[in-house]
Parts: sequence; structure tokens; C-alpha cells
Amino acid sequence: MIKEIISALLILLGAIFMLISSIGMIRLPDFYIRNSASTKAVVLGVSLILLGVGIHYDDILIFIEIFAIIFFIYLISPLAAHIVSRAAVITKVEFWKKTNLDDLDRRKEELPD
Amino acid sequence: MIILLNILLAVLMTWFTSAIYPGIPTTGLWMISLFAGWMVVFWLLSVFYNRKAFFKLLRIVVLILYYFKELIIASVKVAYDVLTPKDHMRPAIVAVPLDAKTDLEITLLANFITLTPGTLAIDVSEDKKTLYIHEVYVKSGDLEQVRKDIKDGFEKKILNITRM
Amino acid sequence: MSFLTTIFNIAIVIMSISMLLTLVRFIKGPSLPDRVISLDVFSANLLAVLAIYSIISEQKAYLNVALSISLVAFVGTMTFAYYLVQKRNKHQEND
Repeated sequence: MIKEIISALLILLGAIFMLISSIGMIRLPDFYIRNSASTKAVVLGVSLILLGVGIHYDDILIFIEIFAIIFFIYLISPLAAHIVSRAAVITKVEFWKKTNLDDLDRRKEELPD
Repeated sequence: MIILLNILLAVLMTWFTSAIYPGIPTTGLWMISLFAGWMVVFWLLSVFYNRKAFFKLLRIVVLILYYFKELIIASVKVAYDVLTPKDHMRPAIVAVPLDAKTDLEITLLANFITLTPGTLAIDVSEDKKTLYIHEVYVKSGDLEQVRKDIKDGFEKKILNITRM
Repeated sequence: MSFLTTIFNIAIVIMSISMLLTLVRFIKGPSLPDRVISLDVFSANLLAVLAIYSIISEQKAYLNVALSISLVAFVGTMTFAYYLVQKRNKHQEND
């Protein structure tokens, strides 16, 4: 019984994190802030939900599979965020008006592109 | 390499143990504790073969725990920022000079940085000497503080592991 | 046992709402990277919904579907980023 309660709590917590991340997708002002906010909340939410599912099934093969999924997500999600934001800098997506851009401008001067 | 071998062996032995002796309770938490037990046994074995590998494993465990702590802090901060109407974000782009040389170290550092509070790795310069970071919470325009935090936090820990 | 099923249904409803919000960003998004990121979050939501649905319907095979979705979503994101950079390079050559 305690096992089911733990798994249900983990799943609810993960779902709430996912909801927060997609509210942030709507509310935050800028592509870069949205990207960095949504990546973290999604990674934590998905791994909590998958851990809850694994505890509910409580089978060793399912656990191996779930650890594989969690490992992929931890490896892949920061990589995807980094690649997309690099593409956004290259294609000149606009920054928020309060952003301090001194270092990027200095780099543009060094490497005329 | 020896670490990957240890983990693979621990997974296989947990699996075979549960397959051969079905009397062991197959609860997931029990399985995790069995796995951890095998891991400890293999660490202690690796002491006799290679002292360096043992301390490397300890540092890797410390790094992973620190990483989870940072991830949870980051998510709670993001949640607080999304759910309250007032915004206290002062974003900036910071250029961090790198001490890490090889590709593996830079990849690990960028991956870890993307999951700490409010930061996002944007670009690496051509000569692999500078890493550009989008940092959301800069206190009163102090970019030096951000650089110092990153160099003392993750980069030092990663370099301690890869350059033993 | 029905209490647990209720909790799982509540979680699925929460995640459907968040998928709808992500779609709003997908339609509204001012630039192309915004849309790519919103699709990424959408597929992560889909993965979580499949994992919970596999508990409700007692079919373990849904977890395999979740694993393959996590891989395919990464490939999609990579391809979009590569396309953006290539398009910009070609544009520059023509100028």
C-alpha cells in the first residue's frame, strides 16, 4: 500500500512541474528565458513521473527500461536546448529589452561575420 | 571504462539473482538496494586493483548528488518565478573563459550548466577557449560574480575527475 | 484501488491542459525556434501521458512506445536546428 502512495505522489508532483513549465512557456517574455525555464522543469517532471511508474510496476525489466529512458532524457534535453539556442543566436532571434548584451557584442567585433 | 564495466556487471547480477531465486521480493525499492549493494562490493574490489578508480568513483557520486541538488533548486526557482506576477529577472550574456581543454570536458560542462538555475549554454568560440552563457539572475549587473560561481562550482569538480 | 485511478486520471487531465498551453505557444510563437521548443515540450508531455496511461490500461508495451518517442523527438529537434543554420548560410551566400 505504501508503494502505491509513493508512486501516486511522485506522479502528481511531476505533473504539476510539467504544468508549471508550460505556463512558463506562455508567460515568460523572451525565447531564451523560455528555453532555459522549460528545459529544467520538463526534465525534472518527466523523470519524477517515470520513477513513479517504475515503482508502481515494481519489476526489474521495467526498471532497466525506465532508467534507459531517464538516462536518454538527461543526456539529450540539455543538448537539444543548447543546439536550438545556438541556431537562434545565429538567425538573430531578438533578445528581451532588459538583456545585457555586452559580451556578445564584443564577440561580434572580434569575428566579423 | 572500469566504471562502466562495474555498472554493467551490477545490472546483470541483479537481474540473474532475481531470475534464479524468485524468493527474493521483487519490489522496486528492494531491487535498487540490491543494485546499490552490488555497486559497493565492486567499488571495494576496485580498491585492490586500482586505488585511483576508487576515489574517482567517490568524486563522481559527489558530483551527481550536487547536480541533483542544483536541478531541484533550479526547478523550484523557475516555478516561483512563473507563478508570481512580479518579475525579478535581469538577463545577460556572459563570456566565461574555459580551463577545460578536451571535447569531453567541454560537453560535460555545457550539459551541467544548462541545468543549473537560470543558465543556458549558448555557444563555444572557434578556438574552444570561451563559453557563452545566457544567465537570467544577474544581481545588479555583476558579471564577475557569475563567472566566479561557474568556475568554482562545476568546472572545478569536473576537472578534478577527468584530470586525476 | 479506485482512489489511485482517480489520482492518475487527475494527472492525465493536468498534462492535457499543459499540452493545450504548449499548442497555444506553437500557434502564436513569433519565431521558428519558439515553435521547435514548444514541440519539444509537447513530446515530453506526450511521453509522460503514455507512461501514466500504461498504468491505467495495464499494458506494459506503452513504455516501449514512450522510449521510441523520446528518441524521435530528439532527432526532430536536431534536424530543425540544422535546417535553421543551413538556411541562414545559404541566404548569406546569395547576398
